[in-house]
Amino acid sequence: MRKHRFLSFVLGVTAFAILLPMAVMVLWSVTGRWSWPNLLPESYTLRTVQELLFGSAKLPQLLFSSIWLAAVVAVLATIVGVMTARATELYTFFGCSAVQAAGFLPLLVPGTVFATGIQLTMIRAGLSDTLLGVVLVHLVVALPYCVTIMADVTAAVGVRHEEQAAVLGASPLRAFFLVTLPQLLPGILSSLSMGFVLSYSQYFTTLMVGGGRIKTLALVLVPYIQSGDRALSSVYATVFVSSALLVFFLLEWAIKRTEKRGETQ
Amino acid sequence: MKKLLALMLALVMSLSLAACGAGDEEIAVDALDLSTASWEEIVEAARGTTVTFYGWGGDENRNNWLNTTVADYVKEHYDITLEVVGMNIDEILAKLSGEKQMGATSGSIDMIWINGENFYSAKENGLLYGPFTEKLPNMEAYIDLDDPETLNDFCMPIEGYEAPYARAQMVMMSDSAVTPEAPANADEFMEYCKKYAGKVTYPALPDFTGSAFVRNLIYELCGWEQFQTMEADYETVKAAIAPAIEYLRALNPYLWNEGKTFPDSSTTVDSMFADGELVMNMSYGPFSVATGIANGTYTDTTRTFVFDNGTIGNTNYMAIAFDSPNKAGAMVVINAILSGDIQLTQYETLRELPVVATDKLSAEEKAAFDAVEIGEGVLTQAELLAHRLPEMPASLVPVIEEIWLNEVVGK
Amino acid sequence: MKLEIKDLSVSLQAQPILRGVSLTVEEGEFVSLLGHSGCGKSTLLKTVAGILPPDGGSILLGGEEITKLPAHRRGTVIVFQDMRLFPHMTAAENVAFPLKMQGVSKAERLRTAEELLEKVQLPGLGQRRMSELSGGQQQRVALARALAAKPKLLLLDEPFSSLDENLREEMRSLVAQLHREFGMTTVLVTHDREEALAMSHRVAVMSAGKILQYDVPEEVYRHPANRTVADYFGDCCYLGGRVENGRFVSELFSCEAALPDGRYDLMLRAGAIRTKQAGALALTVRQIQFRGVDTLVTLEAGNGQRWKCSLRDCPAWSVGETISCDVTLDECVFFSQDNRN
Repeated sequence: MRKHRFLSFVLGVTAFAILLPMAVMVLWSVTGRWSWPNLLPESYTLRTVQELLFGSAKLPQLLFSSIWLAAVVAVLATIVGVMTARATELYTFFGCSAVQAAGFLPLLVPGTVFATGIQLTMIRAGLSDTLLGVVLVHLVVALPYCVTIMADVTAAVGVRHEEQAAVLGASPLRAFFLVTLPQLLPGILSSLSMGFVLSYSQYFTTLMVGGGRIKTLALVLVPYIQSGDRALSSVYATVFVSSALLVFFLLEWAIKRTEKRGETQ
Repeated sequence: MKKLLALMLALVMSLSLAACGAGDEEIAVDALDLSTASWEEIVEAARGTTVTFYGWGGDENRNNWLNTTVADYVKEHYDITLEVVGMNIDEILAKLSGEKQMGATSGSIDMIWINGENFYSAKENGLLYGPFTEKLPNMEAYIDLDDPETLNDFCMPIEGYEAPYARAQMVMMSDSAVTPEAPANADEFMEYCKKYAGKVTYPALPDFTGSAFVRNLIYELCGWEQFQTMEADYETVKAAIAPAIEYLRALNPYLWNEGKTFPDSSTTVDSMFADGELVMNMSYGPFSVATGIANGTYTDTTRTFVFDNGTIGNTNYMAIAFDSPNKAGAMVVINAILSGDIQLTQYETLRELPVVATDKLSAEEKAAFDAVEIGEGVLTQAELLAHRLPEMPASLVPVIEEIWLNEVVGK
Repeated sequence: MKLEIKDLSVSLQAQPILRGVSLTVEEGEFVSLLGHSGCGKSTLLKTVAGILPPDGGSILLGGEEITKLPAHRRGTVIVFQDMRLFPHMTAAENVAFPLKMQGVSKAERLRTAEELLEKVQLPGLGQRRMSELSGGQQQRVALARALAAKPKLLLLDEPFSSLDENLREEMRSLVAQLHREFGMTTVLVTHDREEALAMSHRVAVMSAGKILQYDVPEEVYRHPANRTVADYFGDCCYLGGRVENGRFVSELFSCEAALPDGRYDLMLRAGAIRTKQAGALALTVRQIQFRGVDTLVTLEAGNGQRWKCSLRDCPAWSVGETISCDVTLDECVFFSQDNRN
């Protein structure tokens, strides 16, 4: 009983710590003026919503391109993650640990330095200001996380079931797709979500390599945060968070459904 | 599982298609030799092209104005598609210098919103295209070519590398319902801070606004003329602004947090003022109070004021990137923005001081400018221009910022 | 099908695990590989199945060389100790998996799966997920799945060791029954000597990557080829002594022995010792442990040599008592000390 009470206390505090700022953010997005020490805003406005829906930023296109870009990055990062994890976790080869360590290098370099350096590389490769360039840079950012997630799951699943499938007559490819992949699914889901969020929230790298031509929600949101327009930043941040959450729910729902269909087969 | 695979493949394929398509859209206008071409040829070459305009994207009103009013105007008159890209000037310059370093000949930036130190360093490093302003008919038609702000940007000769865009001027603001008095000089400001101890501050340097406010106090205490030709030497500058340093130190105890720390940016100060935590705010946008009252951020009783001796004004400009793929188009758009029509809409919708010379306007245009209702709580254009002081050389600005950090903050 | 392993050697991470193993299993035969963990018996199984590559030697199945054939084309199925059921499939899908690999139609393979589940006494449980089955039920699914593949060679890698005692017994008789019914060549890896002795036509005792003895269970038990094999079956002790002129002489005991002269160890199984009035040996009772079916008595000879002896009807001895015993010689084996294994 005591344990349960403690647990609900912890859960309560956590929910409070996450939900309260979110609620404040939603409130701010329609706030005109909210000065200290008032508990609630003094005036409300719909200017932000109006700007969001009818402003020059063209929200539907922005959402579409951001989500689409993030989805491509998430899928590619996860595919590479699955394969890299398989190579480093299930096989030992010369330079195996070097490959594992190299994946983390982008995390060690300061963000701005990384972005500037990679911009030069992209100019040299002729990929500056192109979508492909942005996708590649986002991939570099997302890969360390996706590879780590997939490495843990891959190590946990191991080759045991693949060995079993092989002796039961499954070719290596069929063994992987029919036996291992379904078991990697929870990891793949995390990896997809992680890749999505990382790409979705990229600002500096998108700006440097995309040259501002590749427009994402973050690119529009961040200047408003920097300029201190709290109402407008809040309304964009609300859209940002809720669109990302919506994508997660859809992804989870889709995977649950495929799993269900798999069961009845 | 097969469906998932198919989806992945589809995504990857559509990506590679999009990547292939992205490269070919630029139209080569550089076949035209811009240095010898006539204006008609330039306009003709620009027809049907796309021009990108890179600049700070944190002002929803300006973004909207560019994307609608200006974009529609150039589409209608010149069949040019204007693409506005929000990017901070630091990143724009980083991008350009990266391209310069790599020897790129064609980038993605056409027009840049720029001024001051950034203009100085961009020009010095060959990141800008020019000179080009003498080609623009509207320079002659609307702009006072002898105005110091047309010739120099922060005392730096412009030499045709940028055209004026809008004028800014340092103003201060307070809520007349909270503090009825509005300090008109440095002494009154000191008294004001003592009366409202802990409720006044300014953004920590090198914030753009904070830096300008400190320069304004320096002008108050040391005069402005001597700085126009001063060398950017630490000791020289320090000696020249000694009275101001003493004043700022004396001010510290009455400021927010007793002057031990300062808010990190003008954004923070804006929010603190809007929240009532501070009684006074300062801005580079001379009509920002009107905007604030209109969108409900500021109370209806908020008022703008300036020092009797004047406040620093500067102009911000439009330049063209050295590797702009569409220089002709950029010149046409810049020329359009200099027109009386566009400057009027800028004054009207953005409440920015226009750059056009009043005596070059037709009677009709003049009447249209006069008819603009600028809104509540602001000073008139005439009052502002009557209290306008020139900027000091761009090279002095970082020196003053360094001195402030060493001698003022927390002392 | 007949399995022939010739001079097979295997290394794992540069460590030699199998050192020249040769073994022949006749068609339809049930053979056990018996040995302590680490002796290489599981490695041998995996190599035969094609999961591990050999360093040298060859494997023939039904007279055909399969050494280089990939695992999924060999027709050799392993049932692993940890069962390795696919957790994302139902019991029926698990059983149907090998049929799916063989391209059997869906209806056909689900029908076969149900049939096989009935054979392993799990009728109607086809729709259960793996997490909804008990350990014994999972083992049955694993067996059914292996049978579904119609293997040329069935390899059982300690399949019962994770089960509790009662279940293990049940599974053994099920496997024996299925072997009789399907008659497929089977190799069982186990460390349980009773399991090996009870179930197999022949037993191969392994140690340190080699086969020490390969024979029918009675021979392996009664006439171990060396002390390692003898030790494996346990419950024995050794008396050191000499054979001279056809007679074995030790400190405690002497008897006839038709052997060349030399130093020998006489292996005595616990069963070889019988209590007898005025017997040849005088032993002291050191410990008595009642175990239900039998009683384990620890006896000590005059020279300090101890051995344990399981007695069905234990006389009313008390600890410290000295009893008189005799040795039944047909239970004894001599090992030459000069040629120790």
